[in-house]
Amino acid sequence: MRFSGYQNNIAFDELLARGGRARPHTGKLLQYLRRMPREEVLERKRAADLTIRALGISFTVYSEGENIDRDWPYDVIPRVIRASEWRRIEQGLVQRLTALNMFINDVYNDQRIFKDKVIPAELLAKSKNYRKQCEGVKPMYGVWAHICGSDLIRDKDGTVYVLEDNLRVPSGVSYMLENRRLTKRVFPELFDNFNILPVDDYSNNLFNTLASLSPRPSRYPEIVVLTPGIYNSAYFEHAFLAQRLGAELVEGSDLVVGDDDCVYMKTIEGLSRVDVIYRRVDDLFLDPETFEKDSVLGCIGLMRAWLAGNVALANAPGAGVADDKVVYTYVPQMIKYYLGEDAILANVPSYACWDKLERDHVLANLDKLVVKPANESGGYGMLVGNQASSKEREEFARRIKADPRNYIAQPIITLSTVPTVCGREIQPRHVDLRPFSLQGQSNYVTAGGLTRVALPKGSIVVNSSQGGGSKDTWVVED
Amino acid sequence: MLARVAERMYWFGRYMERAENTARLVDVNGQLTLDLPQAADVVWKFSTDVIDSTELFVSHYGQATERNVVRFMLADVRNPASLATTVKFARENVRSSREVLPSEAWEIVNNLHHFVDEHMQQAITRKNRPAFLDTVIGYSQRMVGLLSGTMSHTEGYRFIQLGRNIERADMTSRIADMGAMELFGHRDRLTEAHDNILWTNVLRAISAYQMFRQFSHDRIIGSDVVDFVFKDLWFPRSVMRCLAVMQQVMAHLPRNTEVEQEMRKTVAQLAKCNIETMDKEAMHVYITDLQLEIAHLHDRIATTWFSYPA
Repeated sequence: MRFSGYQNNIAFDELLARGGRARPHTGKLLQYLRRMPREEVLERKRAADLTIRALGISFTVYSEGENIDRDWPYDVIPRVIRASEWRRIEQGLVQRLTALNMFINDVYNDQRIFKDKVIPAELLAKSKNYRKQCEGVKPMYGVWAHICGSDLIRDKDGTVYVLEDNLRVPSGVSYMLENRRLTKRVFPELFDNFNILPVDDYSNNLFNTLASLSPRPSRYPEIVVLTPGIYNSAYFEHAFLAQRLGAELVEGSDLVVGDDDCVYMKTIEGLSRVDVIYRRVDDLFLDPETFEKDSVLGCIGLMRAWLAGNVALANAPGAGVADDKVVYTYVPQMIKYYLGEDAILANVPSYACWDKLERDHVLANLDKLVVKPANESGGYGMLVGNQASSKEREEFARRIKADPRNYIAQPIITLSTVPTVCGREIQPRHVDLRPFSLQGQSNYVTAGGLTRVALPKGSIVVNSSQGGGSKDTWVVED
Repeated sequence: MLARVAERMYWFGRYMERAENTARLVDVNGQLTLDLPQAADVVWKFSTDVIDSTELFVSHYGQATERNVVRFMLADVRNPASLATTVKFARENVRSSREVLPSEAWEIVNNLHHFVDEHMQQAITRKNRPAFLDTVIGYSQRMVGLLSGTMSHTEGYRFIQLGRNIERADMTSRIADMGAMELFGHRDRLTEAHDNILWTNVLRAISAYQMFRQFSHDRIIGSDVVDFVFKDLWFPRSVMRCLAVMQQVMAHLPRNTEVEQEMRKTVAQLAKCNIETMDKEAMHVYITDLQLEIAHLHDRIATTWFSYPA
């Protein structure tokens, strides 16, 4: 299939260099695709779509008062990253998560970083994800965020930036694993010729990380995955991970906290003690006794059990304090402060609107910036300045002035592109990358991650809830 | 195993079995009407009677025509026992507990759901219906085979077996009951010659015809049929066999003392009754009692393994 008319001058293209030539690590893939007849490529795409449907790889969107199960959108052409570049990114992610965990631990304990005036203390006052109930807690290894999904993007000049650190309940890793499975079915021939780093070891590493948190020294800690239930958009993933971990998939109503402040699950044999909860329920719904009074997703007394050290929660409640777009702007300083190192991965230059100078700059340049609320996820509540109407920009200016702490702004970055099958053509589409990092007793980063792709032409919104698709991501030895 | 998951496995077993039974019932009745065109309304009412939904049916459709009943039994989601409903519920139970099942189980139930969804309209017509129902039954059989051959026969599997067998026992007793009642009730319109056809179809509705034939070398006599489908020790859809399987399964489940006791009582009762000597009334009373026992057994299973005080 030919790449006729493929425009690779709009952004950095991950597979094609200037002039449409292959990059050193993508030559074999491009040659393979170019030699394959168009109908064959389209046929394999159809086969992939059928497989997705048959396997029930789905995600749930909430729309017009209904939960709709949609087939997972997957594009057959993988995104390829060279291993030498990846090793640097991997180091950067480990460095970043380590520093973020030191920060969270500091926030809830000594607050040195504020006392030393590296980060202004006012930051906490308005943090939506700061949990007073967590003050003084010292989780095992000093780690609060055990599982992190970082969003990486690449700008026109090839620089990779960290756009977000998702430290609450990041999702997507099951789709990373399923995408690989799909590509193996669609292009099995390719796996012979490439040295593609496997991603399948994630489940084992997740298991080891969770097991390392068990408060009871036992060879067989009881690990459960706590899901909000079948109507959650990531339910597929919760079930998938429970299956891979060999863990029970529990809902809040399956758990009960005893008078001994230990967590038990209701089994057919009676109550059975739980050691580690990989919770995919937000902080505020975890425990009606401590947080939202009428939450039915959590379990009464869970916080009591956690505070007593009788159960491990991953991620720990309160970890989201570092998953705040204003806190984000200080991560390079954090790395310097806690680790004495320079950040390996760059932050996207950001303006925090609570600072008057920066706010004025933002308000004067709304048409050239992306404005984001500090605590939203899923790409909601964003303003992309150059694509918005003047009315929308005015609305955002009003919101920023009303609640400056809640907004940051960043220059509009032209996300890199990857060739993508669009209809009967191959066209460039913008992508980001979400690798997943683990931290418990040790650190681990997935080889690559989940590449999300904005399917409408020119779009940079990659969220699957808003029309995004996905690709398999290959890290290959060059 | 989580109590909630055990409950979903149990219901998954029940719904898959119910889907298959509904498919068989509609298929057999479709064929029966070809033999008894003058009693088509009786035959079709029989379907809704078996699933205890005649009232619901009448309130939505009125007349028990083939088209109406088939639509109600297969496609109508307002009918809790329709094929569409049971397949949907079977799928929901797997979807919300797929981590304990082999992943192919999800693929099968998911494909069944898509198949039923996409072909439902064709299934209403007489011409395409047998092939459609065959496929549905095939899916159910594949599921049984898959689970038997690839899933560890531990708790999850045991609860599926409990669900499947209690559903089967229930359905068999309903079909036999309705068969007997309808026969006795419409003597005026049916000749003795039709007896054969009707009892044959009672047997067919629970796939028992051939096995009954091998078992009994006599002509088809109503009480023999009822005796076979209730008390045969080895036919997998007889009530006795279903109860025996449940009994075996329960022996390996925790906290089983009381429910096993109950089970033994039911089995003993079934074993000692003498169907041959019963008249119509006695048989009906007997079958009704047995159905109550089965319902009671279900409650006992639920309180033993599924429910926790709030």
